[in-house]
Amino acid sequence: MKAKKNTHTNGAGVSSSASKGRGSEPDLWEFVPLSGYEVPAQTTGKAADNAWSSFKRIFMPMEEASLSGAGENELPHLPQTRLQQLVPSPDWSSAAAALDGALQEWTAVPEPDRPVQFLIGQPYNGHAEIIRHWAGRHRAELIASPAYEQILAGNLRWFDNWPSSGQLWVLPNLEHCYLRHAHGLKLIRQLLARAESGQLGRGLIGCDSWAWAYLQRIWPVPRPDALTLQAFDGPRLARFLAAMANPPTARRRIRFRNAANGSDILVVPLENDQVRSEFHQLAAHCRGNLGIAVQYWRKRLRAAPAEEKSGKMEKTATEQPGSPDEEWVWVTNMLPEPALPSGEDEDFSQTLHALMLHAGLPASILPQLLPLPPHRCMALLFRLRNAVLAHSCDGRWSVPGLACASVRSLLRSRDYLIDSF
Amino acid sequence: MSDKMQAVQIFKKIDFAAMLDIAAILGLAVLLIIALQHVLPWIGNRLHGKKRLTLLATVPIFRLIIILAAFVMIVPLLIEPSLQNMVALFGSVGLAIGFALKDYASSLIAGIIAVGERNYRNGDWIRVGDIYGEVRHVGMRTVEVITPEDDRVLIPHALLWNQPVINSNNGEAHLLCVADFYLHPQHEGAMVRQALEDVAMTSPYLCLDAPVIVVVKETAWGTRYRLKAYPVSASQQFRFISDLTTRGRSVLREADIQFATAPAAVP
Repeated sequence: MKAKKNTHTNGAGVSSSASKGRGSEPDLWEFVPLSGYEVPAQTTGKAADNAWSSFKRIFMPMEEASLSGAGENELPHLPQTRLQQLVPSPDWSSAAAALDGALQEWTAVPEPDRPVQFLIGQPYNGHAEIIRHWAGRHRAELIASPAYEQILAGNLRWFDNWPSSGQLWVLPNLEHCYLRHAHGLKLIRQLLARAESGQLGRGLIGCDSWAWAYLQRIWPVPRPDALTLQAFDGPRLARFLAAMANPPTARRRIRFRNAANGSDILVVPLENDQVRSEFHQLAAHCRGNLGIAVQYWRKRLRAAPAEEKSGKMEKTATEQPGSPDEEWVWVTNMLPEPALPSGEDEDFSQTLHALMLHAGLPASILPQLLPLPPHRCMALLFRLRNAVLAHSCDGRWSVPGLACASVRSLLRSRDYLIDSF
Repeated sequence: MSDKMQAVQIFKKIDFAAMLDIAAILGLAVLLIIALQHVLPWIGNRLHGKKRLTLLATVPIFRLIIILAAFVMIVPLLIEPSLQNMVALFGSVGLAIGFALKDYASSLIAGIIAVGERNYRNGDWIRVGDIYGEVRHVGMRTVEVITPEDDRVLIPHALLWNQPVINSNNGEAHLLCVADFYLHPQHEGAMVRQALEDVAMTSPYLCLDAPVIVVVKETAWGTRYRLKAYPVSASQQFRFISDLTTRGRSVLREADIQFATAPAAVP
């Protein structure tokens, strides 16, 4: 991954863009080869701040009980409906349009050199949703991931799901097609071998970046042409969040103001091209991951403080403009990062690593992948949940978006395999 | 009489102020050494991987620097620091130590060499003779090793002179682990190799950035497979080998591979 800006094309020699920006601004959605991903740089001050926080944590490990609500200030939360209007879930169909542009040459050629293309995405960065939208545009057959029993049995009947020759297909979640188990690799090796050889016809495969890092070890066929969504740096992120908060039908001006000092962070519609450092920090903290940046942004928004409260916030609250055409939304500081509960460091690390490599797992599968009995796995998952490092959704335990940065840094410090973003 | 006069000339007249200076230097040096021997390992054990080992390895070096600094500061307070005086003093001291404390002095000197040559550092896993364990403290005279059985063993540095020291990780965070499998010769070798490689690749202890190797050797009574891989941390070596062994045996048994049995001993 790079730090310098360049112009990129994918393996098919296609530039990848959609949603043209204003003037010389870069496109909002851009797909680039993995080597072209540019992690937004952290400011020197923020890097020093992070190093100091890490150093302090050596001496003062955070208490498990203090993690969940730490850092919440007293500003009231926005109503859920308003929050949903200001920060809706990203519309991945626009990204699918950009992906379409990136794959135009590949789709146009009747018999391309590479029968399959890969789209690699960081956790919560919408690779599966983008692929589903792309499949809709091309009427491609959507292939569902196999059941875990099929994976462990190496059941090749799963390949019966593939369409007949000539039909385009997509597999949005390659990360759910394997298990890090001695019997869990056969099926995915078969899949990759058949896909690369063209036996399955032409298709697009989506894969989580952590699973991709692991799969590159068990199926070491380099794919430098694999695409990924380019990082959202500060300016791009500001534009995206402004566009989200201000749909074309909206008439009110919205001011997002720093809750600590009352200064404007973002005014929508955008008044100028100047991007506040908060967006650079947010982009760097999320390593350009749009999905996670949106989660952070949503978590930080607050309503105006109640007037009866004393101090600085009261003063700023009374400064609310009389104009009904303007709305103020307060933005709190960056949230404190969750930390690992004390003790049993190795078990926690292995559990988190398994969750990251598989983009989430059912609790019933975890004991088959770790050298731990089921009751220990459950106890670890509950403790991780209390520390806001894991959550359960639709029967699958995974690392929440707001904990991904912490977990990545934690696993990297302990020499576990991490993604290349 | 002349020898006595010469000795008097070597040593300075030590007054109360000089004694105070010496006591202060010694006290400060001892305090600094105690502090760094507690603080640095305390911080180091809160870090992981290479950072931990690097920090732990600095403890004996800093201690040696403090001792040398204290020595350099004290000697001019006791004697006139001329070449003649130094040779005379150290010659006499060396002779005395050579006769009375030969082994002790040998260990001290070996200790200095061990720190300089970095034969073993804190956090390394070493084998000296039948003793295998993690180096916890490189002292002046001995190296303290904690064995997997949690025994504390003090090995004199003097053993360096005539005993090989096997260092398994040599300052690195990872060390090679080997799990052995002994199979009946009637089996498909390529399949077993692939199965064992997958066992290693799917172990949660495995360091995925290091290679996994399966070495096969035919013997008169069966086939020996050695599965070699590196765990994420050197401290996981025994759990890693156990994991490889148990899951490896399970996979091989499921594939109907027969294990070799040891040949009966010839009377």
